[in-house]
Amino acid sequence: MSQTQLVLDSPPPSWNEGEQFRIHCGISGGFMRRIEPIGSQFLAHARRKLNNHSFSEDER
Amino acid sequence: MPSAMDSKPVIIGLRIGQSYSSIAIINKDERADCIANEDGERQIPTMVAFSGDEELTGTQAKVQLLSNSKNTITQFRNFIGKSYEECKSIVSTGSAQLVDKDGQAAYKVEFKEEETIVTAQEACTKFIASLRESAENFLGQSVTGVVLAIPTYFDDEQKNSLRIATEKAGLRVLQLINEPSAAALAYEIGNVIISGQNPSTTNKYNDRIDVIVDLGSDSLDVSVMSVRSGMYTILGTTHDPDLGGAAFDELLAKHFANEFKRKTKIDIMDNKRALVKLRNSVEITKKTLSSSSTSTCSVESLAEGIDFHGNINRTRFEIMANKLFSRTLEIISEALKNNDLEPQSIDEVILVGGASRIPKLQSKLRDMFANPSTLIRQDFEPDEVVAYGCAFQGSLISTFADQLINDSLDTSITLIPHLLKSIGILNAKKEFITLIPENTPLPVRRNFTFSNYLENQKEIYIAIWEDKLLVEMVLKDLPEKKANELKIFITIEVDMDSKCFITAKELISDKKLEIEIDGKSK
Ligand SMILES: Nc1ncnc2c1ncn2[C@@H]1O[C@H](COP(=O)(O)OP(=O)(O)OP(=O)(O)O)[C@@H](O)[C@H]1O
Ligand SMILES: [Mg+2]
Repeated sequence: MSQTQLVLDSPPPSWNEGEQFRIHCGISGGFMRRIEPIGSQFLAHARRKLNNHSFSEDER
Repeated sequence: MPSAMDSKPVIIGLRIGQSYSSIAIINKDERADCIANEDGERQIPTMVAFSGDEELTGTQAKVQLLSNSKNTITQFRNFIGKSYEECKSIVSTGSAQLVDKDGQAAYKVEFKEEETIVTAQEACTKFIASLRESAENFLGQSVTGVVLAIPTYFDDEQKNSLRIATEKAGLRVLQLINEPSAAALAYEIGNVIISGQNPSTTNKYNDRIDVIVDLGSDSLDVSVMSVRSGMYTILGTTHDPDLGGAAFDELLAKHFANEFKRKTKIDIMDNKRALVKLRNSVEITKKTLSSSSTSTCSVESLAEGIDFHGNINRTRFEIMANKLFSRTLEIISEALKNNDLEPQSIDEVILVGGASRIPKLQSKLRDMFANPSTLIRQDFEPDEVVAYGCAFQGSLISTFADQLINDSLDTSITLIPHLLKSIGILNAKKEFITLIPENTPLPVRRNFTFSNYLENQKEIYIAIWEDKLLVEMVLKDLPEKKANELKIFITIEVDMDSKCFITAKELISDKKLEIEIDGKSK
C-alpha cells in the first residue's frame, strides 16, 4: 500500500451537515475454519483465548 | 543437583516420508539444518529390514533391499493406523508380504530364523527409534521431544497410531503438524533469520496466499494456504495419490526395459526381481538428470545374467515425462479453482518434495505463476524444508508445559470463525484499499494511518466497505493543514461474533469517532 493511496476526501455534497455517521449494514458472518497451530502469532492467539484476554488486555 | 533450567530441552523436527525421512535441528545460529545418519545420508530411506539376527533401518536396509526384499519393509508410512483390508489392494513391489494381524496392516518377515509378523506401527517404531539414535549420536545428548510432520490426508486413526509409534520409540511427541504448514513456517522463520526480512511484503501485516506444491515419491499434494497476520489457515488441499517421483522412475524403467528387450530379446516386464533392480537404478538416473544434461543407467545382471547399460539425455526424459508435468499443473489449477483463485493472486509458491527438483517442472511452474509479484520459493532443500518447519515449531514451544501445548491444540482454540469477505476503505481516489482481507481469523484488530487529500480539508469522510457499503463516518472541525499533513488513525476490530468496532481519530486535534456495528447472521 503506497502512501499516496492512503488519503481520504471530504464528505460527498449529499452529506447532511451535523450528521456524524450512517450505518448501512453489519459485516457478513464469519466462516468456521481450522487454523494451523503453528508459529508465534498462533501462540499469542492461544494465550489470549486460554486466558480469556482481549487484544487490549494482551498489550498491557 | 542440576535443575531443570540447566538442561535445555533438545527438540528435533521429523518428517517421515513414504520413501525418505529427515531429521532437523535448530543450530546455534538459529538456523534449521538436517542431520545426516551414520551413513552420511540426510535423506534417510524409510525402510526397515530383517537380515538373519539383525534389524536394519534406513540406508542399511536399502542397500540390501535387492538381495533381501522379502524381509524388507518399505512404503509403510501410509499404512500406519490402517486396517489390512484398506491396504491389501495397494501392494508395493519389492517389499515384505502384507498380512493381516488382528485386522491391522502388518508384514510377514523372517527374523532369527523364525517367521515374525511386524505391524506397520511396529515398523514405524523401529524406524523412528533409529532416527532418534542418529540424532542423539550427532548431538551427543538425549533428545527430549519431537515435532512430527504428517500428510494432510492422515485421519485421526493414522495420527494417533503415528503418535503411539513415536512414543514407543522413546520420543515425546510435542505436536503433529501438517507438512505444508511446516514448509510455510520454515520459510517464514527461516527467511527472517537469513535476511532479516519477512518473506513477502504484500503489506505490513504480511498477509499472503501461499500455494505449497509437494511432489514426493508417491504422491502430489497441493495446498492453498492463507496467511493473515502470521496465522496460517489451509483453505484446501488437492491430492493425487499416484503422481510423484516414482511415476517418473516408472517411465524411465519402461524406457530402459524396452531398450534391453531390443538389445537382448529378453522381456523383463513380468520379471519382478529385474524390475525392482531397474527401478532402483533409474531413480539415480532421474536425480542425475536434474543437474546434468545426460545420465546413465547401469544394472549388473539385469536378467539371465546379462548386464544392462543405457544412456538418456534430459530432453528425451522431458518429452517422456510431459504428461506427468501436465498432470501436475492440472492438479495445481484444480486446487486454485477450488478456492476461486487465479495464479496471479498467489503471493508465494513453495516447492516441497524431492521430485520438485526436476528443472522442467520448475520452469513450467514459473510459466504458470508468471506474475512478477509471485515468489517461487525454493531456497531450502525441498525434501528437508518440512523437517525444518517442525524443528522451528519445536523450538518455539520447547519451553512450554505439555498441558499448555495440549490445551492450545483444543478445537475451541483452533476452530474459529474467519472473515468471510474483505473489509476495506474507499480512498479519495475511489480505490478500494483492503484493510482486513477475507479469511482473516477472528477476532482481529488492525490499525491504519490515513491522511487528508486536500489542503485545508476540515472534514474527513470515511466509507468502510465489504462488497457493499457498511458505514460512512465524518470527522469534523479538523485543523487546517496542507494536503497529507493530517494523521487520521483508524482502528478496525472484528470480534468472534462478527461485531465490528471502528475508531477514527485525528491525532493533532484529538477529534475522535467510535462506532459499533452489530454482526448480522448470514
Ligand atoms: N534431484 C532430484 N531430482 C529428481 N527427483 C528427485 C531428486 N531428489 C529426490 N528426488 C525424488 O524425490 C522423491 C522423494 O521425495 P520426498 O523425500 O519428498 O518423498 P517422500 O516424502 O518420501 O514421499 P511422499 O511425500 O510421497 O510420502 C523420490 O522419488 C526421489 O527420487
Ligand atoms: Mg513427502
